Amino acid sequence: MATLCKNCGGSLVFNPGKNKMFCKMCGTYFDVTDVDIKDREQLQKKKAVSAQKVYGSDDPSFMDCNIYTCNHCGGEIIITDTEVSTYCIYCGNPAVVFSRVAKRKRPEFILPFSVSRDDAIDILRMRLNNAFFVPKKIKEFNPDSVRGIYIPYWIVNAYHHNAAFVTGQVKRGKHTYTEYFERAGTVEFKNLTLDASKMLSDFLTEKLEPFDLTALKPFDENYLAGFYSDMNDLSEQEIANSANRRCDEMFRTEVIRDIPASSVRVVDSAPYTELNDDKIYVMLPAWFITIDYEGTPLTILINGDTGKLVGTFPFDKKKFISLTAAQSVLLSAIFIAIAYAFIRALVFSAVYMRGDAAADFLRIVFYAALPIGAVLTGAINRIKKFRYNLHLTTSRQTLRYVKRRQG
Amino acid sequence: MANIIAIILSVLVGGGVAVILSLGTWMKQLAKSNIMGDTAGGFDEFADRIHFYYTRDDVAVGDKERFIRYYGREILREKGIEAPDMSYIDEEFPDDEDIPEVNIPLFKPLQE
Repeated sequence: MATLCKNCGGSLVFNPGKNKMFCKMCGTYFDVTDVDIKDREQLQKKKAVSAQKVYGSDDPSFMDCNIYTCNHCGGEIIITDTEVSTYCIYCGNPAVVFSRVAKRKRPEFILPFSVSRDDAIDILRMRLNNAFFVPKKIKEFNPDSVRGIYIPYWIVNAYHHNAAFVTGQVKRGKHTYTEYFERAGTVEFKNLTLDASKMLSDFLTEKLEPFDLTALKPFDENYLAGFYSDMNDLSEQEIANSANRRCDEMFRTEVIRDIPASSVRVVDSAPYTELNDDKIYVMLPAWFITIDYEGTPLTILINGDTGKLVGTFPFDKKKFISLTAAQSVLLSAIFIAIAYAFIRALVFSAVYMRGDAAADFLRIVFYAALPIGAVLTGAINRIKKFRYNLHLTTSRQTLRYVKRRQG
Repeated sequence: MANIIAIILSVLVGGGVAVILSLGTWMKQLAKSNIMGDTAGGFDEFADRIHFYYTRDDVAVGDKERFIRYYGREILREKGIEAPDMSYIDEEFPDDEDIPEVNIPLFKPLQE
């Protein structure tokens, strides 16, 4: 246990709604800066020890992990190499691994939770209730498995140089041509947020943005009480790679906007990113809610600062298929009649029309087919996007990140 | 006979168009309903503008190698910047790994 109540000695946790430390036993609130961590030096000496050292076992059936002794009940808390704060599984008190915070690079700032656990559950419940295609079983989720986790982030400023080879469709007169373009340029990126945890997918944490970085507070261990947290586990090279990927993506998007053509895409690029020396190590808040749906775990993230919800849900197949089929049947009556008229006219034009008249007719058919093609392409792209996002939500890697927490 | 063929073709084409349009409509609704928070911070949030120092339109597709080589690496070298290999971290999810069952302890109990 990290911090104790001045009045009754109960354990304190950070309350996001009040932005204060709260004693669950006597109900008193304290300002974070008013709460002094007693025996800080002694706590900092307490180290997490390798389980192999404690038990002296090299039995391969046991995985190696770190053991930290709870300051409150003496129970053994199992933590990973990167965990900084957790809960004791025996007494349920929050535990901050002080030695780790002290000995490893200390975060400079922290963005305290402003969305409480109940708020996070309400946000999810409200959003699910308005989601037409989400199955009823998911809407009736069990809110027990909710974990507030501080995710380590780097905030970086970077110089980015890139060369992009681009292609697009250019219309000249009646004809459309495929053309190629070259763009080389530099750009300064400011306050780029990069998730510093290997286990969490960057693509998932990027969706959690934005965070209000103006509300960052100087780091204090008290904010960790009552939440889980991890330390940075990225090397300098990995941070640079992560920044390079992110900057390249944004450069590509911006180049596409600059090209005077349609259906523009970047064929190739050569990104180079140089990070400034002023990068800042921070902890940013997120709620992780795990829902089990027919044996598939779904991990939903909620930004602990803004309440933004990130997650994709399986859909009610019966509802989707029946609605699509019903609409198809209704529309079929109209489109079969139109198609019949077109086919008859086509046969007529092939037999009786000559030269330009037949060509004009075929052109009309071609242009009528274009929007249908666009709708089909749009539907296929949405299916791909849905599958990709669902893959992120059901990712076992994300689940492992959340499930390894005790409790 | 020609009339029957015309009817069969009409059913195939008209039915196909109807299915495509319906699928498009409901897929849009599905994405709106079930995909939540699918946005990430974009260019405008982190930068002002790109300073393009070289642009060329309507180039040949065969120019790609030369362009990428020169403006990608060599121009940096000329500026005295040795660009390291910035190959990306593989973001594939190692989903083949097993997750330990929740009820199986990961550590040796204190007393046996």
